[in-house]
Amino acid sequence: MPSDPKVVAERGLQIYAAKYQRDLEVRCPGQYVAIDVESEEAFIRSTPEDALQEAQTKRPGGMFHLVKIGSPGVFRVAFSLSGAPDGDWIFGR
Amino acid sequence: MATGFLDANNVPTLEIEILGIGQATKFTCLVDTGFTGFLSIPLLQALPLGLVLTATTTVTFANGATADRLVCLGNAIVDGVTKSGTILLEQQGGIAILGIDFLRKFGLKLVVCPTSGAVEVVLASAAFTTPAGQALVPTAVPAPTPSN
Repeated sequence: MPSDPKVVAERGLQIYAAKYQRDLEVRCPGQYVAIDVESEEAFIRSTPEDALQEAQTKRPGGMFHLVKIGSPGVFRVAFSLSGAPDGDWIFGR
Repeated sequence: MATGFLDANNVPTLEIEILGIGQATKFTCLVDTGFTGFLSIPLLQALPLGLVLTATTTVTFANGATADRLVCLGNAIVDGVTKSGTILLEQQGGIAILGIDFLRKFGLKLVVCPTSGAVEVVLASAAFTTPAGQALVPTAVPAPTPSN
């Protein structure tokens, strides 16, 4: 299992784009999907916490990437102290 | 109801409790209505709570840029009421942030008095003192009388 969150996020987005995006954006826009980056399974619910809870229940110990279907981001933030959006997650490069 | 204050930068803050594994811990949170999520806390403050890292997600900034963040599930407590939500983890900084989804889940609305610096969250069902639809127009100040 990848331990670097940047790798998890990239892997999750790859799986989402390849296997789920086209179908889910038609069937359930605005809902949330947690992608298991190992099994590539998707858990779809109407709230982010429900999607993660379902994913954790079905795949205990798994690592997931959370996507809001049809949106570039799950949350909008106005304020972040974590540096440039494109910087490395851990080292800020 | 929970109360807070405007900090030195005129930012509304509110004290809540976050519950991970074990004891609840008090956090003074910045209230950010531009944040659509539940809570965002620094990673270093999340680990002692025993919050379990379960996922990554993508956040969108005001300029449209996106970035990846770690996220976990956790519980927050306000006035003895506990609600669950997703907690974003920031790898830098020391500020906890409370967003719109937090107020929605607890059924609260934010009241800020810029004059006294008082900050309150009250039940969303409580009536606004200004009737809905009535514009908040500053009271006109009478023009000074010209003096000879």
